[in-house]
Amino acid sequence: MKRTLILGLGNPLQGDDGVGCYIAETLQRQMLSDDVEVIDGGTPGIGLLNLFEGRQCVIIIDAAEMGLPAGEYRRFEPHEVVLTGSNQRFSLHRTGVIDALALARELNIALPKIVFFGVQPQSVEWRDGLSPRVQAAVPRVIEAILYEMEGSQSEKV
Amino acid sequence: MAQNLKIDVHHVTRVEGHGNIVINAKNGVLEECKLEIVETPRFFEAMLRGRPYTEASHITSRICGICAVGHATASLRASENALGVELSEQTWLLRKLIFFGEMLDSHILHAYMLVAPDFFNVGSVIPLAGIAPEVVLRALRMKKLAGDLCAMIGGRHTHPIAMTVGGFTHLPTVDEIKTMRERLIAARNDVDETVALFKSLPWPQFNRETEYVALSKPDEYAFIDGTITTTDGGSYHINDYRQVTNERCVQHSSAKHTAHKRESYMVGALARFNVNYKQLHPKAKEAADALGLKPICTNPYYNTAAQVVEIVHSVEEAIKICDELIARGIKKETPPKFAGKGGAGVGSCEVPRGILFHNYEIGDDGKVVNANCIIPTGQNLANIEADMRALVPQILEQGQEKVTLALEMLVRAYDPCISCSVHFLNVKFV
Repeated sequence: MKRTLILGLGNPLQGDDGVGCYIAETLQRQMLSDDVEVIDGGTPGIGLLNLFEGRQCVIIIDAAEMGLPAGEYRRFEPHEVVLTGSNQRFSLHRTGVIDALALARELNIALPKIVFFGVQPQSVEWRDGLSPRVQAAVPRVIEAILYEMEGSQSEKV
Repeated sequence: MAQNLKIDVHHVTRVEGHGNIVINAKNGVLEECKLEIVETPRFFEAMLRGRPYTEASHITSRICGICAVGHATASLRASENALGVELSEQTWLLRKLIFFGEMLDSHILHAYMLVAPDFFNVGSVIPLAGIAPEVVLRALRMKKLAGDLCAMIGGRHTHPIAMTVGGFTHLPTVDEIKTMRERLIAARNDVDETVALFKSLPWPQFNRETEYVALSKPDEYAFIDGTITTTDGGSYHINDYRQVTNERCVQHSSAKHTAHKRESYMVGALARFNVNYKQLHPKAKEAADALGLKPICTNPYYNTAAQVVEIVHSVEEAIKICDELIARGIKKETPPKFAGKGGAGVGSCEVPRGILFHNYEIGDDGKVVNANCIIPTGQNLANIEADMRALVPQILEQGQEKVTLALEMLVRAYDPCISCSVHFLNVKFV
């Protein structure tokens, strides 16, 4: 089991919602440390919890409505934000992130360190491909993720 | 007693997508009763047009994070039938095995996390974890096994990348299959506990005769391929699926309704159970007995019980397939290349929520010219409404709250996947 998991979430058929999958795919083609696994997780729902098992650090890349201009990204940890699903109800899909975290708390399941990279989408309509502004943000987000990992590598030493 | 009742449940919880229940009764007479579907229609058909057929299964597997293998399989079967591609024994075994993995994953999710909270009088699986942690931990354990089974064959969790037209691009090793077999055997205990839990639940008692439609095969409980079979008698070749579905638009729903000979029909685990009971694994039949389920069961709430029966069946059949694969060994096979001749074909599977159809026309350049996809939930909508119309007058006197709960539970019983609606995160910095 590799200690660091980079997890791209989203649905590539819903425009910018797929930004996490797109970045994961790009990272899969790059040379990363042996201790890093990259997964294009799609829309796994509550099953997410099973992907966390045995990890030290999980970096989640996801589209996030943050009230920012499209293409802006933010790094945050779960305790720094209030996460709600876009429709604030229990659902099988992406509210999976929120439900998985809530469920872990309720069941006293120890979680790895979790870091989110949220990217502000422009459009999550059903269509293939990213909008130009989110597309343009991808290299910057990747750079930030690589920087994050350098940091967590040096923490271990 | 004359009753007035007005129910408007905006966005039924614990179902996929946006569905509203609207009920209006005056002086005990039901004036309005409908399930409104307010999702934006999806445009997969348009997304597939002009794309190489080799991409179709990867695109359609994104339709749903829960039925990814099901959509991929129906898509591959449509392309394979269009292009005349034959599958090896090994490919069939692996396709069936990964299908059982997804069936388990989806049924466990629905039965434990979406339906069980109703019986424990809690709003969702999260408070359920507070009052009955062992139940939720069991569900997570079983889901992990199912997810790992899918990943072993599909190449990754959630969306199967290794499944391709004519076979697989990546194969599991015999050792991986042996380990999985051991884990499936160890899971029998959890499966028994699952049957014991669901047998103890007070299922709502409501029966309405309807038509049940499912694939069937002469030699097995059908999940992939088969003949479209209905409990009203008669069967159809999958190529003639339109004679069964007869899609029509209705005003209050952006999803189309379907009807065969009656006003509606039902698909899903209960339909499969009713059509194919005889072919269930003996242990699954025992579970059905324990759950009080006999064909033909006309209580739609028992769809979840039928899913529990299929959990038993899937684990037992998956063990059998592992045995067979271990005995045969895994051989490297190369999926056939495109021969430069297009065609048209239908692929059909029984995904967790019921019968699914993909229908493609592929050009001689290997690109998709036309595509049609009919999902199970669309086929159930008319039947859910017919159930609501029959149920409401029977329970009208119980008052708003109980009627609302009964209707929400009814909709949830069908395990609807109304849409994989927009679901990105909303973030508020604190």
